[in-house]
Order: sequence, then C-alpha cells, then structure tokens
Amino acid sequence: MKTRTNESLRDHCVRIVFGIPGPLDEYARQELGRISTNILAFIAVVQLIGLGVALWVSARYGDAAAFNTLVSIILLSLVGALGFYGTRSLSRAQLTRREVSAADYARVRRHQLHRTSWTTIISTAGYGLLNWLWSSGESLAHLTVTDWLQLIIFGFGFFIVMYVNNVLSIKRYTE
Amino acid sequence: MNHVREFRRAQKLSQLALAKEIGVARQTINLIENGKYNPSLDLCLKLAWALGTDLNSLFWRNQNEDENE
Repeated sequence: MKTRTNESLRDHCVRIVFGIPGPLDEYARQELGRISTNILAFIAVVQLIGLGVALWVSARYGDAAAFNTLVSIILLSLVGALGFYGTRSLSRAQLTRREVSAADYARVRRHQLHRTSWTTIISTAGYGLLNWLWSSGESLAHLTVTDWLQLIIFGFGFFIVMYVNNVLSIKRYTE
Repeated sequence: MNHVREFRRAQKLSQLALAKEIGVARQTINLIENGKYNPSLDLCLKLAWALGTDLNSLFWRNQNEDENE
C-alpha cells in the first residue's frame, strides 16, 4: 500500500514512530537498523535479568510483589531504551533534524505549535484512558478532582517537553 | 575523500537540489561529501549520473591517500 508521496505504508509508519521528517534513504535505514538492534539487545538482556529478579521476589515476597517488580522493570527498560538511548542516537545521527531554509523557519516553527498541540491532545487522552482502565474501569463520574488535575498536569508537561524538543530539532541549514 | 562536492559545485547544484534529484536527504549528501558515510554502489551510480560523470572521477583515490588516512 502506497501513501500520497509514493512511500510504502510501513516506511510511513516507521517515520512517524521514530519522528523522522526526511526521506527514509539508505543512510537513514542503516542507522535505524543499527539503533534498533542495540535497543533490542538491551531490552532482551534487561528483561531476562528482570525475570530472574521477579522470580527471586516471588519466592521471598509473593506473587503480587513479583508482578509489580516485573512490570516496573519492563516499563523502565522500554523508557530507557526508547526514550533515552533511542532519542539520543537518532538525534546524533541527524535523523530527527528538520532542516529548513532561513525563509521557511518562522512558518515551520508555527507548524510545530499546531502539530504539538494535536499530539498533546491525543497523548493526554491516551494517558487518561490507560489510567481509567487501570482503575478497574470505574465510571467517569467517580473521577476526583485529583484525577483531572493529574491529567491537566500531564498534558501541560507533555506539551512543554514536546514543543521544546520539536523546536530544537528545527535547523537552518547551511552548505 | 571523494570529489562529489567539486562536481556538484561545477554543475551549480545545491546539496538540497542534488538530494532531491537522487531521492535522498540533504544530510546524506553532506555526509558523503565530508567522507563520513560510504554510499552503496547504487547510490554512487545515481550520484555519477546526476553529476554527469563516472565513478572513477567521483570516488577514486590513490593508495597513498588511503594510507595517510
């Protein structure tokens, strides 16, 4: 299946997931392959170790504690691998850099505000949904002020971080 | 080091224009010109065709250049 720019749907999804604005040429694919392999190896090792730790916790403190330990290790490994290593590696490989001419800089920066706003709305809704599901799917009427406040703080913080990151990724190119 | 930059400038092409012509990112052209990325044979051929030259002229280097690096 091809998108409007004659790019395969898979490539389009890869660009969206990794935040790559430019074309997925051979350099981008090579770097993505290297980064992905490192991430996979890291996650595999950490989760094997986490499994061992969870088994030890289970024997000592019970299954509930073991489950929480395992979930925490899995989430931390994903955040560490994707959030820190992945983001940093993609940035160093210049894959997430959005290059613009000096004339286009202001327009692209305004576009980032629009794009970040939509991303924040969708992510905050997703976060709220996950929280609601985690709390055994209680009715929305049972949500307290604290719950709504938590959602607002998440949305606000997410917007700030994403906007700063997106604006910093815009580079005025010189040859 | 290769001669991509020299041939590109002789053709009065910007890095962005050359990148669009052969379907890669501008950063890729910049990395190739600075010797920080070794393109595939396919990309080398596309560069040669776009710049109106051959692979030898673009990428050949003498052995002593290789040893000095």
